[in-house]
Amino acid sequence: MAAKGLLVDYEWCSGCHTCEVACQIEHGYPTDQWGIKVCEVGPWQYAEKKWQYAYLPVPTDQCDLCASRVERGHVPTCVKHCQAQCLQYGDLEELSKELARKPKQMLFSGSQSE
Amino acid sequence: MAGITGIPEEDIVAAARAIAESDAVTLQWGVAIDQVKETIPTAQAVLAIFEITGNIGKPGTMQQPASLLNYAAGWGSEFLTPEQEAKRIGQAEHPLIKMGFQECVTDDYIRCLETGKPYPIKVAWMQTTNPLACTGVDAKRTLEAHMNIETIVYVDLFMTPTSMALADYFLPACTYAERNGLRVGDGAQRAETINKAIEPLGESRSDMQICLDIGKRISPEAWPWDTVEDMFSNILEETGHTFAEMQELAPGYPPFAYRMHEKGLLRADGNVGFDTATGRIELWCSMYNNLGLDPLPSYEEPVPSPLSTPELCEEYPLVLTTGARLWGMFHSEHRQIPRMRALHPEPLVYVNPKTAERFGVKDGDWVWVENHRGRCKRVVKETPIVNEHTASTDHAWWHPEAPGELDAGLYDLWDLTVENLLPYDCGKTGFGANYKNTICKIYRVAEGE
Repeated sequence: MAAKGLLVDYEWCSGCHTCEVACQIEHGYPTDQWGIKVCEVGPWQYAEKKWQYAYLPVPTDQCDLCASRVERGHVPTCVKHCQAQCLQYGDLEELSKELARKPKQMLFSGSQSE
Repeated sequence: MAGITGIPEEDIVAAARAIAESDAVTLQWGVAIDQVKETIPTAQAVLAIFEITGNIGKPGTMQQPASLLNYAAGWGSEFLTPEQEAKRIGQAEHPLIKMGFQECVTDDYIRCLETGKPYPIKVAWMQTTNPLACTGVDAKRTLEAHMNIETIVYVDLFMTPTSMALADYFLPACTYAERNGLRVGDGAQRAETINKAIEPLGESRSDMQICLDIGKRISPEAWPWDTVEDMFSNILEETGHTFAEMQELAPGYPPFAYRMHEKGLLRADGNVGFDTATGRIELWCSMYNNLGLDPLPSYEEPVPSPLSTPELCEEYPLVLTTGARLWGMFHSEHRQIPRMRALHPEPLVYVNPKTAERFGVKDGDWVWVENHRGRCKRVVKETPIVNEHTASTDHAWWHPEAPGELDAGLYDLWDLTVENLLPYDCGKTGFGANYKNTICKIYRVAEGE
């Protein structure tokens, strides 16, 4: 079976934390553990009229790519609930082709070795 | 303008040119304009920019929003007799209310509670509202005024500072999972349904069921429906669908057209033009003129402020803005939901790092945010997104985990409500008040406070 992963277009992540909460509820994690965590990078000014200010959702060791949801034909819950639709689930090989399409994307290859 | 706004003149000019020279400009606006004292002329002036530049009714510009249920002006006054209509509070003071807004200006209502004039209020029905923490100002005055009401019925999902202080009867409402419902929405309306998944827990009923049950006892002619679903179907009547049908079809978007004013789609008489007395866009408003209000928009500096009260600003030099939105909480709701509270555990005041340094505080400190009227506790969050003259703070905070009785502090209300800083002082029209802006200073909370 082809290796799976998550493609994150973090240009559009608004930092709303919906992925965090959906994941915690799906997996029954307590409020201080995350399967995906939104990180804030910035704000700081690095040039005239240019600011670094981004949110980046990072899947953790406790992300299992929602194996039981996927088995039932659903996408991972973070992908389903992302309000900016900036998360995609699929074959790593297919998703990696998307990386060249635009900047500010990252590919997560799962947290477990085969 | 640069002197008033603190925005450099060249930026103001550039913004004006950008609006004027663009093919299509639209404005995403929120409650900040409602929450200034002269909201009516302010909104009128803002809209005039789009009217003058032709950004009305074309793709990518300002649109007349679709409407399924016109609730902004209230409804139900058709059931009042002329004698009852004449007794509505505040009509003489505020002619806009008299001409068809089925609301009472809050300031007039509070004065009525305090003085008993024109007559005392005997019963209040408070539903999904929390004025001591959220929708009111001057919480101490609000509480004292409401103590004059003999009987208060309160409907909500949770106990709140207001219900603990004031409720004689508490009717528990159920959550959205436990009920059918409609959401018609603000702005561009559409028919959305809420579809019951489980039976209401305990003795709770939906807000709509509670209203229908009591409405049928008090004013049966105003509540002719047997079930809430019949009531929803009545609201949806112009869509041609019943509630049950809309549950399958939702979301139901009303038909939409650009350039409605050119097609005779805005006026009740079907003529081309706008739904105004003259059929034209009225930069000079004939309706306001007829009511004795200024027909043209004007600027009025908020009070207090660095420009209007420079002497007060020697002690309180920061402009305070309140109520920027939180991701996980809505107004005074959700403080008791563990996962929402974990995202934002305490009320914050956002200040520029230079401001923190100036006042001798740092990120994570508990501080008092104080002005000449009162103060509230906040945690400092240093951020460059706020300028050096401004502090931005959360509104509507209380601690559901703290003791809730009136004599035990109403869930830490008195320490946390930003209402302590804000007075009742509405605009000339009766609409608007400076809920969103005042002045302040900040200093560290002392040991034991």
